[in-house]
Amino acid sequence: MSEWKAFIGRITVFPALSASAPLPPASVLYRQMWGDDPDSYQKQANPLLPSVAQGKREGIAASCFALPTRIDFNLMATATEQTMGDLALIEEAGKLNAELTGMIAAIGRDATSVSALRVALFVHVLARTKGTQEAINALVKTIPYGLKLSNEEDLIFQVNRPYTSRQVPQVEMNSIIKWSMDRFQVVTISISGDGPTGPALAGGPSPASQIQDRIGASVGFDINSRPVQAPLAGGQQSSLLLEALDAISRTQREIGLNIEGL
Amino acid sequence: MPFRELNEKLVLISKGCDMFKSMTKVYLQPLLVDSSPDPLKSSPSPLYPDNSGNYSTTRQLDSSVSAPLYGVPRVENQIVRSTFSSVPVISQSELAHEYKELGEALNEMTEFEEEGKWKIEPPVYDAARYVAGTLLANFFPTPRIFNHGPRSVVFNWSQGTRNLYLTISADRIAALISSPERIQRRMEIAYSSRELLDPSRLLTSIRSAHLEKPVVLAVSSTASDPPELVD
Repeated sequence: MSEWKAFIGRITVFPALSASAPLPPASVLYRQMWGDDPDSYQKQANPLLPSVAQGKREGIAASCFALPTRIDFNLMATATEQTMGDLALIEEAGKLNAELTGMIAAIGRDATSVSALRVALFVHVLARTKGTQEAINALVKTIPYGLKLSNEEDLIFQVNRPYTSRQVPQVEMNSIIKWSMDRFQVVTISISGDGPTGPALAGGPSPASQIQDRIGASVGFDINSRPVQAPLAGGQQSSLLLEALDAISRTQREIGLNIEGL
Repeated sequence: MPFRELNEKLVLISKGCDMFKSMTKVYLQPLLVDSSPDPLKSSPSPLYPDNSGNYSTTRQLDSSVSAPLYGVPRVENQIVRSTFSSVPVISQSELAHEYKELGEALNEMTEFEEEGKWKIEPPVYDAARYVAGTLLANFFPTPRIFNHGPRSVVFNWSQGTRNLYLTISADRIAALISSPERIQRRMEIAYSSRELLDPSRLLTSIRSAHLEKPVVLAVSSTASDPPELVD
């Protein structure tokens, strides 16, 4: 039986165009969101490319990508020595849930002070499978529409169940669930301190890269607000996101993913 | 609420064909061996993904994310995802490349040495970046860009003999559609206006007026699904 685990969590804020001060870079937004300095920062290489700040939170990789039109706060599993060459998933979904809740609270406190037109919450969960048939079987069990499949090799199935927010009246929300069978290539690249031609890992042979193919059953929850008539304040953004997180938690149980802690 | 009671839009794409077992969308990032102390100063994750939503790449770093590069073996996982066996759309990556050049041109406009004459003011630069980002996110063809002094930049598209000029200032956008004979339409919107709360709709309507026909955007993902920046 396939075990579902969290893979990625992401909060996206779509800032309004304003004549006031420009958006801060990703390093500042990272600090505002998580309270710490990022481990690494890359400024924009081009005005239309994002600035990027990366760090870690409770063993989960945290990153902020900032563009004038959108800001992404991402959380995803980090590769460890045990998962190197394989798909690293977030083993304790409760940690992801707690991080997302904390980020939503920070938005509610106006930590990032971004006047937004839209907000979005994305949670991606996966089950590692041994082949396409196992992946399709795992997906079909969680698609509550009585889908009958036989020898299909690829599957994408997406629905949108829009709703009106109870927390922020007048705001319409898209609530998208996407089931898919995904193929992953995990490319492990080793770089030694001596350069690309040196030994890759201490004591081992020196492969420049290794490629592993993996198949996974994938379910993505994407809940986002439709553009509104007036920019959303931090408290409103927070209410919409919290409502979305609650909907994802409830739905994942409803469709039988049963990820503990999410 | 039970799923079946809702009136929903369903999209199902399945393939029973056995022909395409290999991945059709493999995007590998170039690996830059950087001698600087911080390896993450090299290119970040992919920046302009295909918006059909059926692939992504992700970089997973080992625990030594902040460790200096020198003398320390470093291992990275690059994850390349492909959802199904469709043929990739090349036009979107071309568009991204063209917009990259537009961004570089914008950058150059902030670097003119002769300040006060051609060098654009920071608020103009910020507004132009925002508009260009919105255009790209909505798959608009890349505009030509003109300098118009320090207080505005002009984006331009041509359709036959008709021209659309979008003049972007620090506090407003002006759209002008002209033919060789006359100015056909003019529109000016302050950023505080409600119209700009959803800039993609505004820009679509401007372009529609320019082309004198409805614009059908080549968006392959569902409209309700914000495109992914990184995944």
